[in-house]
Amino acid sequence: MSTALVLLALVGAAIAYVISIYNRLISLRNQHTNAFSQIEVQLKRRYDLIPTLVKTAKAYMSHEQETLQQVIQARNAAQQSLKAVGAAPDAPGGMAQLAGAEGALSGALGRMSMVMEAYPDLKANQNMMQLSEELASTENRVSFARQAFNDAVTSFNDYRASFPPVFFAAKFGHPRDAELLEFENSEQLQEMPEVEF
Amino acid sequence: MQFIKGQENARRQTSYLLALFSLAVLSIMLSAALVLSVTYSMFLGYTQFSIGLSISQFLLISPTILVNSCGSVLLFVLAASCLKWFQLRRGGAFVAAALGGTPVLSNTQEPLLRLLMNVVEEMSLASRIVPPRVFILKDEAGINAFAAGNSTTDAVVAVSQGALDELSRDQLQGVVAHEFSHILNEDMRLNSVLAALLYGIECIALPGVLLFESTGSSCSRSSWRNQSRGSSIIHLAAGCLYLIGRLGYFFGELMRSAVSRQREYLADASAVQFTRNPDGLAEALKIVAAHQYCGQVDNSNGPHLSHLFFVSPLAKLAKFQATHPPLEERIRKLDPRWDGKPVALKTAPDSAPSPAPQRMDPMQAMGVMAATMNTVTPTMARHDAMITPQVHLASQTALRQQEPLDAAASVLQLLLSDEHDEQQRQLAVIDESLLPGLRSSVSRQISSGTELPRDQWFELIERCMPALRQLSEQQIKAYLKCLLLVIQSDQKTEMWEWCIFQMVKQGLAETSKAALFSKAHYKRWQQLETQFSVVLSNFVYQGHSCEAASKKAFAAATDYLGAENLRFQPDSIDDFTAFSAALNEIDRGTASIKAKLVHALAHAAKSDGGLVIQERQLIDAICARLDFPPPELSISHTQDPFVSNGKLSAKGAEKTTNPALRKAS
Repeated sequence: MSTALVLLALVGAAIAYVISIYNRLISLRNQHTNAFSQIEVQLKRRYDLIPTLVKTAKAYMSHEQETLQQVIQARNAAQQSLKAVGAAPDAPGGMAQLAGAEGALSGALGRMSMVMEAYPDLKANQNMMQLSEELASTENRVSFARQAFNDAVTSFNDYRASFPPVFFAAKFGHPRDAELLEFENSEQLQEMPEVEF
Repeated sequence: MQFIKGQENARRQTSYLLALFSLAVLSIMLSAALVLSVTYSMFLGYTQFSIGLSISQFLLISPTILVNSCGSVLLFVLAASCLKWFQLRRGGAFVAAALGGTPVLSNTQEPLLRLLMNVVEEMSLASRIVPPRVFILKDEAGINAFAAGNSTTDAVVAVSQGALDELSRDQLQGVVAHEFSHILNEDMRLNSVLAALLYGIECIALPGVLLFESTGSSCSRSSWRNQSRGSSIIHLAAGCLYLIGRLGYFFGELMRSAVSRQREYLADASAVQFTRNPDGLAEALKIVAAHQYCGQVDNSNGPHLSHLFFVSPLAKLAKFQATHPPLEERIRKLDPRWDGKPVALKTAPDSAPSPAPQRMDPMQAMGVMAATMNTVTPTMARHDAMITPQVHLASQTALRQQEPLDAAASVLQLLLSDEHDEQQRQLAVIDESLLPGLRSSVSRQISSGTELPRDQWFELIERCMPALRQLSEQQIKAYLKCLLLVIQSDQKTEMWEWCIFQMVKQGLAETSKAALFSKAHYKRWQQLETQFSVVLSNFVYQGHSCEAASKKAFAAATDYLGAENLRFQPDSIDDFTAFSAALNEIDRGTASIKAKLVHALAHAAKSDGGLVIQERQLIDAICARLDFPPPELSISHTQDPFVSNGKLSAKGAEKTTNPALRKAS
């Protein structure tokens, strides 16, 4: 009788432990998807700023249509891949694609700011000064949000790979590690984090 | 990583100090209780014993007396501490106002304030706490900042004008991150608790203070000898308590300062964690050290709130009394290679000491900025005109929405009629409102203003909200009344007017606790069928020209609801008493009933293939009225600012032959 009770208690404890593993996996996954939505907000903010930036610049830089066009294209491409990643954050390779598109956009913005050096009127334009402050701030926000996202992803991956959750993770619907968002050319990003004047 | 080590170190030191502090508080209370029980037992038997204190008397204290006096000292100290705690726990906004802070609007356009708001939002992302309210100390030329408030929800961050003027973006970021760390680690609360406990300790000295003050004035020295033995015992006891309280307070203060210094180190280390840029904070501290005013704060409340600040606002104190570690040590912890040389400032310190920076209005500030940069060229005006109307409008109206009265006037202007006579009547109503200055602000905007396209109305209202919320309660009441009178001046109310009024009214309404916890009166939407049909009838009438189209849209909504017996009610249309009453009733239903209504509206709007701006705004206003989040609907043009070129209501214009809507298009 007493052995049966002890066995029952042991089985109950084991089940409770497995349930707690399941719950913790879910909560960690939700934490990093939520952290990604923070990045999403900031990237969208940046995509919304760029059209205004280009419009303002257009009035002064009528001879630089090509550069502006490149910025717009890079922005649209980045927006597309953000949409794709936002729809399915767990899909493999999505983060890498977004990172690539973001890198291209930063490159285009960097070229634009170099061209802008030749237009002192534009640099001193009140609208442009405001916009560049907003853009600089958004770049910072993206990087802070990315920092938070990568922290969340790391703690999810660590837990998923630890013992004993590693036995259960795949069965509970977490077959892969979550992907970190690392901008490929992060050195290049460091060089021109904002539209420099 | 170094900052993690720094944080651990500071945390450990804090817990040692706190343990020491509680030990000190306990022993102080115990000695006070001992004094009390000795006195009491002497009273019980003072005929048998001599006054002289002896070991035997200590031994004669009965345990009951000791326990009782311990209990009463504990109660007394706790009561005094609670009293102080309730004084101290007032929210951050109160403290900021006491120190002369002015709130910074979230939509400010002044370049430096905009920068500050951006930095605050960046830091709230990095530290993952809700952005606190931001204040600026306009009259302080010294470089300083503080955080106040007891929890992350009522916290505020304030920055002095000097800090804004002197520090670069990275440096300001470091300072703000330091303040965020105080919020995150709840240092303000810790400090309040310690201060409250210290006040309780200080109150132990109270009997002594009272007694000596009263006897000092009424009794002469000679009468002291004639006093009875009993009163001498009381004097002796009060003297002991006075000594204990004062000494305890003195040493407690020292420990509180030590805790405060450790929390500063912790905040510095956490700031580096948030920004991952130790140079920003180190540079900011170096600039403070080199600045002529240092961290000086002129406000009279500054000294006793000194523990809140970024750097000590006081002149140098003895090291063990200071609430902040010396600047040099803080800098060396962040930048071990610092050679101790002062850094160059943005504004040269040897120039004539300027008074506290004058407050400039935004227009003037921009003018000055443009002038100093030598860029006011005649071509600029032309270029500005070439920028698309949307951009132009945003920059033009943005300036107006920072002063509460101007914001109020901007919203009022939306309601003004195009016809001259009617407009004069409305202006007369505004004249009679209890808001002086509103009329002149409205006239100024009429003369300068351009008509705003309808799709930007709600955006304008939203941007005006932060400024409008600064009005006092009476002013808000007067303003809402004025809006109503302007709407009703032509004896009839139209749907777009109702929408604007609802948006403003709900935006200004405080979410009361009663509303949050009130019980839903209706559980099923079927109980509200008549109200649903009234709201739906009015809604479909807005978006469609003829009755047939309206009925079709109505049918789409009833299909969604699965209710055949819902009837289109033409007589309720434009009857705002019925419409408002219906919404009032629906407001008393559960959230799922509200969701049903909102979805039914969305279905009706989409039944003819597209959502026009009138429908979108009516849904928004109804959602605001019901305090329900508006659904994600895109108007027939996309939201992307790149694709849309301000050609929004092309569809709306052909669709709306309804007279009520003509004003819009």
